Amino acid sequence: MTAIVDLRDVSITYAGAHGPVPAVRGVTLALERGRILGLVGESGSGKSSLVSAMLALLPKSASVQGRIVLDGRDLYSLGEHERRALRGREMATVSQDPFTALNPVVRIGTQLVEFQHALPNLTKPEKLRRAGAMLERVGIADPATRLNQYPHQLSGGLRQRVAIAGALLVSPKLLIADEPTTALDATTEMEVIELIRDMRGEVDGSIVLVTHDMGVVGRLCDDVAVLYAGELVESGPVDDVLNRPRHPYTRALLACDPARIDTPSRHLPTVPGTVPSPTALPAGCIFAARCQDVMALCHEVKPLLSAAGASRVACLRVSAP
Amino acid sequence: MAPITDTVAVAPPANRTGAHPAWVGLRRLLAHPAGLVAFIVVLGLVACALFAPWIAPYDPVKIAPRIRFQGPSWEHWLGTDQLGRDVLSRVIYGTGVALKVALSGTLAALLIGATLGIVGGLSRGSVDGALLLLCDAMRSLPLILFALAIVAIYGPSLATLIAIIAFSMAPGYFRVVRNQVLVLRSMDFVAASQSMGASLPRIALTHLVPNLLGPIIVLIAMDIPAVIGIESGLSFLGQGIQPPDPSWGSMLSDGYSFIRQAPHLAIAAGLPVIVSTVAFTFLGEALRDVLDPKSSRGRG
Repeated sequence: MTAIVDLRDVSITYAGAHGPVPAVRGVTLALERGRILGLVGESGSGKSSLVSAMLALLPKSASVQGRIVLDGRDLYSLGEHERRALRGREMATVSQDPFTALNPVVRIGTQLVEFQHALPNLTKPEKLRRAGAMLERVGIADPATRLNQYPHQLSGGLRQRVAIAGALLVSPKLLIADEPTTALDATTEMEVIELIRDMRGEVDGSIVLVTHDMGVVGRLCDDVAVLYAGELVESGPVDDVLNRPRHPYTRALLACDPARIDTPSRHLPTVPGTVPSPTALPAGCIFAARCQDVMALCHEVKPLLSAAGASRVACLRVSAP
Repeated sequence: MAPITDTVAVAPPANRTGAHPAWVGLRRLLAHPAGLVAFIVVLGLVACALFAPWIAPYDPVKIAPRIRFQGPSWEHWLGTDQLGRDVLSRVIYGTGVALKVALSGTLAALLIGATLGIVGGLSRGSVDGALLLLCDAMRSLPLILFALAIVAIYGPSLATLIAIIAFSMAPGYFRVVRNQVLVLRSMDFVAASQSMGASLPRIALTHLVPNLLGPIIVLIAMDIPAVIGIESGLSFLGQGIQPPDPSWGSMLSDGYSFIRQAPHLAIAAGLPVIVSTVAFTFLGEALRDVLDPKSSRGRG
């Protein structure tokens, strides 16, 4: 098994008005070919920064330390031009909101042709034919009609199918889906998840699914990586992490998944407290302030990611009980 | 992934489901009462401009001293001027001059303004700042003074007139396009195409230009009356179209000189200015209603 994406000790620092903001710190993560990784974390956990870094689309104010290796090539040792050539050839994205991800005044067909701009040796009619065939594959009936339509003539679920078709058209090695179901209703969400699962064979590499929904991770992903305040706190195969969560934060997240609540309640569980600001990080464990199983030691010693079963966990209760 | 070999018949643009937006827009415009009238008047003006040699009953520059200052008659519907030229023919030929100046001036302004607007909106930073400053400086110049200064330097001619119009109108297009680009560049579909590796020029062509067309069309229709005003104004001051070429402005100026002997001259020259200005303004407002997705006439 070769890793499609290999993140080695990746840190992302933004230049803030009051000094540097370390948004992501020391993330080491490998994603193997043919697997779907769920990147989980709440707002501000750094998952979006990490994804932007994989696409080399971070704003100029951000700097990346560590190495991001895409299929054997160190992304940040390439020039800007070569990196851009990778996007649209080897990397593709499906964005969060299908209502704004398509240009409202350009026909679907034209946009799908445009998505393939990096593919060489294809004429426009060929690209249009590929687009039509791909629409059919993602389960859109009457693709010839759809190609001539504008986004507003399609429902949200259909638009997300079009966006997924667009990303698949370039046969990417890395497909990044940034919360692809957040803007959709529950029924459509299920359909899109089914679609991504069916389409995984089309991706000659791996899929990264950014989400904060543990239910989606359980239904779709092979691996899961849990980010908290810019650090990786737990990662491993989905079966292991979801059934035997070792980090208290993972447990807390799972407890918040409404699908896992057995007894009916008027109370929706939440994780109390807030994520620490990256400019004012605690000395010990970053989760100590919100942790239910906190020990005195947790406030002083920073836990390192260490193997536990099939997973890796950064918790003192696991590494030094 | 296996190459896609399935073939799907791709129909030519089918109006059944995806009529071209230009047709949808035109249909809505014709359903708009003021828009319909304005559209017909503008079509009439364009016809006058294009077919002047066939429509006009006489040669517009032929002098006939014997029939000077004649009032309207069956031979000369709008009478004759101080040199005995047929006023109706001059008005018809003047339409061509007015529209030629208005269209080429506006298009030149659009080309300059929109290009700089896209550059400014995409680059932001110091380039954008410099362009904004230039644009504000241009806008703060009193138009007629600026025009007279340019004419004084380069001499009155059609080219000078078009250049003056282009430079005085370009800042308006720059402003609109730049602000629109700033809005658009934060849209998801721009980010999406960036994440698919599209270059800035590609994004500008595929995503920005189609979204800019609506506001630009409205702005053009709104600007044409102003441009006709500039042309007439400069010609009235003797700094625009030069005799003997017919221009509404210079005819108005002549008519003004002889307003006691022959008031029909000033009226015949003034009416087309008013009619065309009003028609283009109404057309612009109708287009704005029709093209604005938030208007009640939104979806047709």
